[in-house]
Amino acid sequence: MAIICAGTFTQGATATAIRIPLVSDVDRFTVYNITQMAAAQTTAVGVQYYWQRGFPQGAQIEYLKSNAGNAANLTQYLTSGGFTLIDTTNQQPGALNNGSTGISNISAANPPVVTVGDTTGMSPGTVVRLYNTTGATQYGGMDWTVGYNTFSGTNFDLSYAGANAGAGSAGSFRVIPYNPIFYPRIRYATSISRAANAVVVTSVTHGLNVGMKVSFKIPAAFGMVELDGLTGTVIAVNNTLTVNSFTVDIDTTGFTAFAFPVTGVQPFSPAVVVPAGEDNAFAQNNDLNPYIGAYKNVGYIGIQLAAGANSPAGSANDVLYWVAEKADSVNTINPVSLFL
Amino acid sequence: MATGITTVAQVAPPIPVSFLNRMLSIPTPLNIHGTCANQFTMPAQGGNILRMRRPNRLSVQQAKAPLGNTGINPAPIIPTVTDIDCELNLYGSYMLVQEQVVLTSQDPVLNWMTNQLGIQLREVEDELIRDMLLASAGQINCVGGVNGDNPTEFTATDIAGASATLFNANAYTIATVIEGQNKFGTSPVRNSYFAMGNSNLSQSLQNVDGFIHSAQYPSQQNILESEWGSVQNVRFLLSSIGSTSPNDSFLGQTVYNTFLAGMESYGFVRQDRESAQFVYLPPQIAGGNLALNASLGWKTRNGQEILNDAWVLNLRSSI
Repeated sequence: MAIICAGTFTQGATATAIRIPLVSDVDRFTVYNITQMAAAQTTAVGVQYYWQRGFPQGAQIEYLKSNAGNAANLTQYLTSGGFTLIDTTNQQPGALNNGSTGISNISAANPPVVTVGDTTGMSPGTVVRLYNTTGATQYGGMDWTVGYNTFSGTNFDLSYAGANAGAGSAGSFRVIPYNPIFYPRIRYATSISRAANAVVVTSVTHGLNVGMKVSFKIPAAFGMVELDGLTGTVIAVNNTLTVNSFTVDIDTTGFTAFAFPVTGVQPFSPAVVVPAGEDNAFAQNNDLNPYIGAYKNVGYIGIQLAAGANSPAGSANDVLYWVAEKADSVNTINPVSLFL
Repeated sequence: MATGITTVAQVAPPIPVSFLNRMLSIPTPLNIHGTCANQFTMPAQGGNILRMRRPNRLSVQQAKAPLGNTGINPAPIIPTVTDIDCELNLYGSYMLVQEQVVLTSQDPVLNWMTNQLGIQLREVEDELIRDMLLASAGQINCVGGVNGDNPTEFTATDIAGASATLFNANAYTIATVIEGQNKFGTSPVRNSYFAMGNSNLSQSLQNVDGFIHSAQYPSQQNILESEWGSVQNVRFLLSSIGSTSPNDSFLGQTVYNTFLAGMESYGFVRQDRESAQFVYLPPQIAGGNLALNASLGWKTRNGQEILNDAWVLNLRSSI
């Protein structure tokens, strides 16, 4: 078994699942939670985690520490909350309705809140694809970043949808596990202000950087047709999770107001923000990375660690170390009988 | 009836099978996405990013006013440029083959494995271009159809609208006119943009008003194997690896992404000295102490990019 990669990470104030890209495939993965190892425990808490090729997705072996002593004194095998192999080049959407029942309501709120059967495995920032919506049809057939304003076991908001004039009553959804592997990416605009420098909000986290150029495709259904075909430079971004906007150096004050379609306006083309290169002069004049908008493949294979007190990505502020190993060969056939 | 006839029941062939020493065809998709790509080569030892620059079009507005007779120069015009960067990545795939596979097989194992790897290399290159176009090209939904979905199925209006979008952006067509000839059942083909889509669209396209199948072109020269036909100013290349987005329509059906491209709309960049390399390591090198395994594979270093976002778009449809 050869170590192919090793590393460390520290959880933030809110523990989240961690994705670790691995250039090579992996056959064994071990995580050490040194924060929990060093602390005196009164109830059993995971301190070391182990995964081996062949485990089901999400499974783990967990070593726990349950007292003030230093020994990892309990071991358990769990089929969930552990390690999941990931391949971001696989663009297959998740299970219908996240394996539960579908949409039962889309509220007429700002932003609209969607009620579904179950949000297990999702978290604020997850991207979902809505479709077959009854009422609120304008949201169907689009991807949305969800949950930054409202998130629970059965609810999430469409964080960047803006105001919704009419409620929806049914529909389906699927989790979109990964972004397209190439960067920069097109996005659908949900709001564009009329201002000397237009502020644009997109349905999914835009991922743009200052100094990049974008162009706009604005169909008549969205109003602001004067912007269609224009190209501008991104001069500011607001990556606050509940905001997700960028500012572009196009004066839209005299343009028709942008209006996201209302229910029933089907079919329509989306309003699209299209990457259009880089403004090198702007980047250099503002001490920015002039190559940040380069077209590039950011896909990867790797492993995802679930977060939590009994999971390999640990709890808030935990410090963890990990080791990924590759076997010289993997033998998955039955062991040879002694009698052969 | 005569008795005492010796049959295979008594004398069976010692080896009852023969092996045809000619391999059957490997299912190979048509690689369509590189067809319209501008090919570039980045020099070796030239860094990781190839930068290109496009001067933007100058406004003619001030220049149309007469200069008059004052002798005073008008304000100079300041040109602007757009820089397009493409970051290259290394890709590769290989097989480890135990020497006993070669020693015990009747067929030329390493030959057909090499063939497979070559096909895989080209398919990877093509799908990378496809995936870049899907991620970064502007989109238009087909909306003229009647299937009740969003996007709808292809219609002539949608295709005309998409090609007009490219035309309005001053995109050059890729293919020239195929002149009409006095041949039964043929029809002239306009100068055209190329469109690259999924082979599931073949029926949908045939239902579009004005569709001309490639067999109906007046000349069969310069028709690509993947070419299905044309509608107005667009010639369609179809392949089983054409882009699809599962569950992406309003009704949750598959959306078919068809990329319409004008000339010099997107590019494919290779790295000099590592554009595509076949790597064979015999057992004596790859096989360890006992020379047990050979290794054969490929590696390539390339990048994909949109050169002008106004000259390529994704016309999305359902069926």
